[in-house]
Amino acid sequence: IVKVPVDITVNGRTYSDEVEPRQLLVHFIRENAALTGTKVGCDTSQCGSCTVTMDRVSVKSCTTLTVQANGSSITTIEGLSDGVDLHPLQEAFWNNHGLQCGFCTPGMIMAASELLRINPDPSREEIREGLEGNLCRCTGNQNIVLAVEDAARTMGG
Amino acid sequence: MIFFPSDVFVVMAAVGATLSIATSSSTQSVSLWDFLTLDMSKSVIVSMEIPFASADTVFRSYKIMPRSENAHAYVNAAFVMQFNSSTSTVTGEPTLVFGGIQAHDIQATQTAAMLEGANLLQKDTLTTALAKLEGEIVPVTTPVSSSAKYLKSLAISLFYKYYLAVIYDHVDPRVQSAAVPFQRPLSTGTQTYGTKPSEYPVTEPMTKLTALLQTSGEAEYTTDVPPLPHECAAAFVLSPQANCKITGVDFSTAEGMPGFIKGLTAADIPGDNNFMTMGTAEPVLVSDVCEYAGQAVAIVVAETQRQADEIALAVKVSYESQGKPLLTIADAIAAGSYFEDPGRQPIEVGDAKAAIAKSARTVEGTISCDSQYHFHMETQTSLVIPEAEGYMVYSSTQWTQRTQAAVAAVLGINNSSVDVSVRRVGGAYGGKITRSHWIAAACGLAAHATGRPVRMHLDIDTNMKMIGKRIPYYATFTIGCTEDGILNGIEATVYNNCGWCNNDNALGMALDHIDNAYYVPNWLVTPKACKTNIAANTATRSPGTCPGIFIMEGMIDQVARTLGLDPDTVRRANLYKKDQVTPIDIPLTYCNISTLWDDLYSSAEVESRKAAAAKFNEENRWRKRGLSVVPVRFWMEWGWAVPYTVHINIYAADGTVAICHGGVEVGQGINTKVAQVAAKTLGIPLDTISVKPSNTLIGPNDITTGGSITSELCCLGTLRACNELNERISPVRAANPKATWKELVAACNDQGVNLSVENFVEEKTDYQYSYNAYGVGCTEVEIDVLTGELQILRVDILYDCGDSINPDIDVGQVEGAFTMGLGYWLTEKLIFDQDSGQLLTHNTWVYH
Repeated sequence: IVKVPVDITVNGRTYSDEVEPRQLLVHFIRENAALTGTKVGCDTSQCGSCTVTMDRVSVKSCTTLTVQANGSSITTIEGLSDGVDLHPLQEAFWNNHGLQCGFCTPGMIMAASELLRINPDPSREEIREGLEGNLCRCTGNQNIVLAVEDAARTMGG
Repeated sequence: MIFFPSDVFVVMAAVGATLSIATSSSTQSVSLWDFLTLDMSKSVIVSMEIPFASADTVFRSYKIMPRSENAHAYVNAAFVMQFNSSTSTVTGEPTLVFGGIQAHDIQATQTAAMLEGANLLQKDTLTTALAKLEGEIVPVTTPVSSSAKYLKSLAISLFYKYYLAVIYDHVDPRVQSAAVPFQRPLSTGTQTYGTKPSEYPVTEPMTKLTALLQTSGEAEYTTDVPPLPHECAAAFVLSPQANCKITGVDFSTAEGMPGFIKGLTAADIPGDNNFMTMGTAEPVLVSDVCEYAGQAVAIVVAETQRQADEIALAVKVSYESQGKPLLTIADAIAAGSYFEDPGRQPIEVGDAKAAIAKSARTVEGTISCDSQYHFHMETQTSLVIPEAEGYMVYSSTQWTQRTQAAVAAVLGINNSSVDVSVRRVGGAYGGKITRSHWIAAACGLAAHATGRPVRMHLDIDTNMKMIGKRIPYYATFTIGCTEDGILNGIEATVYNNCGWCNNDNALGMALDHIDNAYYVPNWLVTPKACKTNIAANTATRSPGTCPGIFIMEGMIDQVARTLGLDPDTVRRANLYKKDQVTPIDIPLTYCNISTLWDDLYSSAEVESRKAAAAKFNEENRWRKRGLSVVPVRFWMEWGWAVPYTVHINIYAADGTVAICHGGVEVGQGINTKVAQVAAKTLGIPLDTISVKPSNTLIGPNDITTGGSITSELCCLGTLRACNELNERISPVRAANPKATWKELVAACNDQGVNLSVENFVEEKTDYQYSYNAYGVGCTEVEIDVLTGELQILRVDILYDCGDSINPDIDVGQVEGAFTMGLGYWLTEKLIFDQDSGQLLTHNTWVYH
């Protein structure tokens, strides 16, 4: 099996490893970096459970090759908080009951994190458009929108 | 085959874009049409050039798709023409491009030629163009596409919309809406509920206890259990043919692939080849008779999940077809293929035939509803670890006890040698009541065969092809009623499609709910459970009940339609009153459905909105609005449910509390509710309470989580367990009135008071069903008559839930259920290949 060396920083820590060129980034994150917050949901890049940010841009890690991420800095759900306090998005999803089974939540929050980075004061329409790449089967999405709105307010947007 | 009509292509082809294509030695400019047949080996698209349009160019593009996001088009189109607005004529020849009609985009060249120089305000220009276009649009369909009729009508409708857009200023207001794309406005929502602060934290809206973990990514689901030394993975090999005999399984290619450890077939099963330890045996792996395409034939064990998935596809299954598979209820009826036991006796109340014969009006009809994939975001998953004395099983399951039994039976070992644990499940909706045992049993088999921990996480394709889903229903009915729509008698036959096995048949529940919220004095309802060559279908969010209610609502609508009455009037007139008796002979000792109906009618301003919708419909030829109000009466079925066990420990060292109950946290917030009840009853802070993973040590014989009853019954068990603890503590409390909780607990322990208690919730009710939940919903919808696109304008739901233990959780459940219902009724459907019986809608590209 041909393997290729990569150096990828995840949540501030650099992982140097040899990977198959066809390995998906989501598997690198879950296995090589042992961070299981990022989920595999649909295998078809529709559901967004695998969303992380790569050099600050949100990507679906199930449709990104690990080798594409070589030299990049990835942030996953585990890396969102500063290690002491929850990130406002995490706090907001909690307070606004924006989750039930919680499986879609890490991807939802990561997608929202980039939305708010680009657009710190989004309208409800913009929030709904910004999260169009993320599916949730449990909540019906109302509270997710409220959570992102709440987070935007807290973050001073 | 799926057509993937490119949105980029249709737009760029219409505007006449060209591509610059380079090889290592040259560059050429190519039209998009020529690009379709260009040999692109060793070539790269370098750029695309879009020509400038003149000021009088009118360009529009359209896409009609199954859902508003992430879906390819049924039909997409892009149109360009130069329009002289002072003479209202077309300059030159327009370009009319359509996608989704054939494998590649087409141009309506004849229609375009006919339009050159034409005056668009002359009526026969439009009619001639439409007739010409009709002849040019010749759709090619695939098994998963829409009908040729619909595709053609879409193409023509889109052209018509464009035509109106071009001459918009001259268009009659009544048809103007067709020129405007169907926009989906912003969704909004409000939630209203009451609470009882004196009962807090019970009835307090509060978020889930573990939301902190779940938002930080640290919440552990079954696949997240950290990898173990020597762990490996497994994948199923599925049969490609329904209704066949398996004649061979060939691992020869598989064996040579990287990571291959073992191939397992039914012959490798040490115990029973059956993961359903009650009801009809369902094989883990078939070796002879194969009922459906997607049934598991073998297991591949490999070093990693990716390798196992890939290797499984390389295993060759040979088979002999046993005939064309039965796939639908219609197929089963034609073949007379039914299960001997339909799940319950017919419902017979009074004399339906006589009542119908004597009625002023007779109404007949049929109605059906389809299947639905659970679409839990976490697919079926299990991890089985061989241990010295048995096996440790982690399973994404709603029913730990039967998962334990399944693994033990398949391995031929004692149940007591198998431990099952589940901390939380990433969505279930009934799909993990019995189906989960299959995956656990397969991992158990692989663990036994290799002596290594084995993990299995189904990819969505396998999950959709292999595992059963919501049971489809079909009903025929005859109703006798008065001129005013008062129902006298109903005779109906209700069919459902259980798939190849009826273990999870809910036809009995469907019949138990067929009256929904209406009093009908005479009934004759005959159930018929159909046997077909598809996966054994299973419980899916309100199994039986929802379809039963749907059938009744369909019958009411048919009565209203036939008699020319307002459906709301018919509904209101037939609503149950308190103390009336339902067809299954249970009196409604609590019934407020009429009050709820009237309240919602008023709060949702139904009358005025109906009038507004009627006016809108008058004024808009191509858009129509409608309102519908539907009542719901839902039996809470405790009769089958009990028992659940609730076990509570108080730790003497610091007074903190651990609870382990027989339910499973699947997203419904059961752990939070149980903790709220304990906190309230013991009088301690919520954050001193931990709810532990569900397992087979506590509640060894508990029933599954499901039926919407588990949260309340586990809360009941918690309440009783805490009351018992309070009783044990009370003498010590009386002797130490100023003691803190911690001091009290320590003192109890010193005095030998047992601070661990268990409550076995065993509610003996007079009837199988213990009480009803009532609700009413009003929905307003707008449809685009030309395309079938629809927009839900407003939904009002009024739900009587008594005192909600946690309004945040309960409102979340209602909203989530409603949205899942939208998918059920509006978009989700399964399509099978008629010859092989294979599921064609097996991933998110084709399942909407």
